[in-house]
Amino acid sequence: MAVSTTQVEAHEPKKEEYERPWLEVLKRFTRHRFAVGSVVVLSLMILAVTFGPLFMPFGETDSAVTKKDQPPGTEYTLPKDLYYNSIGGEVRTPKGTTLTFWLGSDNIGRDLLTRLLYAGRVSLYIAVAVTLLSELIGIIVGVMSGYFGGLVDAFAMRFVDFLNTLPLLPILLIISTILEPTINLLILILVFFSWTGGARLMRGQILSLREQEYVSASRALGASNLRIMFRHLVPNALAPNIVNASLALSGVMITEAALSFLGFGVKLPAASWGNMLKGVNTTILEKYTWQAFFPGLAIFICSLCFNFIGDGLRDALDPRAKR
Amino acid sequence: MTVSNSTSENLLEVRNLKKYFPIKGGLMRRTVAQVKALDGVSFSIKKGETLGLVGESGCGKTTTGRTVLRLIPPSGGEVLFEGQDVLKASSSRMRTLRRDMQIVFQDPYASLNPRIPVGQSIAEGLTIHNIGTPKERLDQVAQVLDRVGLNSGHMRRFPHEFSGGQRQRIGIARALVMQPKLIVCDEPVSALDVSIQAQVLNLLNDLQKDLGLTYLFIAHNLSVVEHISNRVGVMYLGRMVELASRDQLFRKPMHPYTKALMSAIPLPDPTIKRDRIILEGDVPSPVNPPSGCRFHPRCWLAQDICKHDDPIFEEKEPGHFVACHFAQG
Amino acid sequence: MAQSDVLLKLKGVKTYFFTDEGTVHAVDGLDFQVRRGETLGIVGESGCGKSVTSMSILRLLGKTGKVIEGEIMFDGENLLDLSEEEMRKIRGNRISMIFQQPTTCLNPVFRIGEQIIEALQIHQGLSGEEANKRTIELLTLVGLPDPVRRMRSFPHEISGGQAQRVMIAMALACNPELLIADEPTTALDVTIQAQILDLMRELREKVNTAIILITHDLGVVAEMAENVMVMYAGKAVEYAPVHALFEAPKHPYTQGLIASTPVLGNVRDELETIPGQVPSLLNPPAGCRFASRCAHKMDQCTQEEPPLIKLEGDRLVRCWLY
Repeated sequence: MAVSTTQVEAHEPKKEEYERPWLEVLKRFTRHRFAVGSVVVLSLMILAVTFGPLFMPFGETDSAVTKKDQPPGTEYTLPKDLYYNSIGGEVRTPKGTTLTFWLGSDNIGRDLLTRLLYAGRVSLYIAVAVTLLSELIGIIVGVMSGYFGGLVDAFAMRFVDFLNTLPLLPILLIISTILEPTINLLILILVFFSWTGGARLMRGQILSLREQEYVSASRALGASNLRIMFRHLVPNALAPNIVNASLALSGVMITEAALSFLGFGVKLPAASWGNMLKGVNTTILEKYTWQAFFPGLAIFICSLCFNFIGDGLRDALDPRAKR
Repeated sequence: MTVSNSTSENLLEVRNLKKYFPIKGGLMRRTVAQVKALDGVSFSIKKGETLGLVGESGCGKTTTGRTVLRLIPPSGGEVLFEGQDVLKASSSRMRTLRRDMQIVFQDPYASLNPRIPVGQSIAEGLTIHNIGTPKERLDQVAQVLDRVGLNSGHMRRFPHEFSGGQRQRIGIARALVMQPKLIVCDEPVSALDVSIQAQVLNLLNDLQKDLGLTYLFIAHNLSVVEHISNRVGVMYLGRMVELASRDQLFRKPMHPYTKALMSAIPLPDPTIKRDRIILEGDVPSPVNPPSGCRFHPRCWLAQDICKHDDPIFEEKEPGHFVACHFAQG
Repeated sequence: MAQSDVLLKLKGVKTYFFTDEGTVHAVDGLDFQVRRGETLGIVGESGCGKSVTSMSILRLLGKTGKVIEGEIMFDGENLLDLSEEEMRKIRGNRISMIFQQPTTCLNPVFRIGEQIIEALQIHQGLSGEEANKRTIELLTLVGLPDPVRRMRSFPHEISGGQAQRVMIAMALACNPELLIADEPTTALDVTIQAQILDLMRELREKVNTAIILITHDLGVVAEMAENVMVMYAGKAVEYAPVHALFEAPKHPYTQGLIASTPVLGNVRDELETIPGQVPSLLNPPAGCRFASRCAHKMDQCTQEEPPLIKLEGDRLVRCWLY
């Protein structure tokens, strides 16, 4: 049903409005209130995890053996004769000072807030790196596959199928016995297993878009395959991948959590939001709820923010978006 | 450039053009059948003239346009543009040829990239071929927008901000900016409303007069083709069945299919009562086209010979080519 | 003419769509009537509201659309007052519809015969045996070759022309009093269009159904309709018997429409055009909606909307020239 055709004569835009298309994108993004809110929240979190630890009296691994499983707000006066630093942190606070476990302490007396901040660095880094890399690879493979079709497509998609049949956990188990698991290795492995979704999405989009007449039009003007793929097809096909990426970000965080939980992820005593949830059981949930609640909340807030930003980006990048 | 005698007048010559689309099937994805979309089509277009191609869906008219421009690879035949074989041109030669041969598409909504401002879409050909500085390109785009009845202020707009007729003007501007010699117009007005269609047809006519363009005008609407063409070819199931000057064809059609096609068009005049030829059945599948004359199963004049012998496409009267055993005026 | 002759009568119907961008005044005050057995053609370009009119009659406007004013009297009953349940009994039974894309209106997973039989069983309560027989009758009536075998075909196995025949058979299954045909031949090739128009003419003689034929093709209207209503931007601008309309179109829009259509066998150097484009229905202009494109525009036109003015010979025109 033809509802309306926008009238071009209706209003001439101000000059600067069409001089800079990025301004338009930004303008459309700012209309998405949740997305803007998410950017603010996420920026604050990134600031906090980057600079926050510098202001914390505790070190990442400092533990107060006498203050295990303390609830949020517990005060702790440093003992006269004892370093609270049992594992190797530096003493920065004079003895006798009274400190507060704002978010409580964990099962060996480490400050939860401090660990949460250190963990955020690792978790956000892993999530962003894995998602960006795997979307990048997925998009390139998907575009090639969909655009050229034939053997390229058959080979790429069979490889994707093959990867999808591989079980992640046993393979990680094997790898971790052979190689020393570092964070960057973990990222590479996660990328290797997670680019396939993006590739499939992109391929499907390209398959339908490559039949569009503007592609033929561009070819009739003498455009090269690369130009057609990356100037005409990818920008039009990107929306599902952006949404996919925003979901994947939170997915990676949760996978990393699961892996840490099983001991393949970020190795203790280094903290990640995932391994802070490690060992959560009914006793902890009932008695020391804060130990599970705060890392969980951090993951939840981040996932939510990423999803809203993904939504906002998708709309902002589409000049046809309404309103 | 060497130009042989026979082609001195002809901008484009198409000889025995064929396009078969394979149908793949089975485990090994072997070709199990072929759709004979184009099966030996020949025609020529003189400089500055408009050749109309009409026919119903599946007759191969669109495939003809795309194959001539090598947007899809042909299965056989020759396409000579200014005496040079387009189909055998090297890729660098093809790049230069593309500047001379442009296309305007049917669907003004689908033929513009929705994410690119129309100014950039129009300038794309110039960018690809590295013609001029960015500033000069901008000027050229502004000029050509003006030429098609829009203005330079529209350059930064996105396609969705335009109506169908305006988008078709943008599509024309994109072809025009390359200063082509030939424009293939693939159903350029069939998606437009009548009053807008008239605007676009008049624009195409004006441009031809002013710039000496040559058109291959593909359409299913006979009235539109009659309006714009100097010569007209009628296609049926991958073959050209009749080709003549506009007046010859519309005043004195010789092929029974052309006659049926013309009589089938409802005329906006309730006082005219015509003896309508109503064809039986549907167009047969181009996978297994009928033997002999491809039109014989629907033809009221068909005799035995039509089932066995493929009629030759021959000049029955000066400049009037017909492929029919019983062609008559 | 006798009152009982009137089958359908629309009075001041306004259908608006409430979208994110605002209210679309798709149909903005429409009056017309259809007599029993009459064929009324509705012509206009895209966005003029001709399809919305038919959807309003059948009350198939979806979530965003609503008839906000007026009445649609069908055989003495206001369709807008009926419950959804009562309306369902009318759709496909007393009023049926055929669409532009016949192949998309058939469910691809059921055989053609089953789909007609289902309609017959729902609306007419026929037994399986009877419905089967009636289906064969109907398919024969619409000229589908080899109907017994064709009944067992799936929609993808038949051509567009045959699918439209099936749609017509389905529409006629319950002997409707009114058939709404929305661009029934637009998606078909010319030679197939000729077959379908021929069939519709033949059926009109046989079954005496009133038809509302919605199309953008002046040729189709000229051939099929007795009376014609021309619509522009949600309004009826002219109403006339078909001969009178083509002989002497009164409204400047109708005149422009006819003059801008290329006619076979009548070559002109330059086609007449209507400058500009259809106004946005989000904020329709005050006064006559055609004023901005009209060659005869007067001051009055942009200020006050012209009423439908009655002319001799059963004609109406919405223009200050008369």
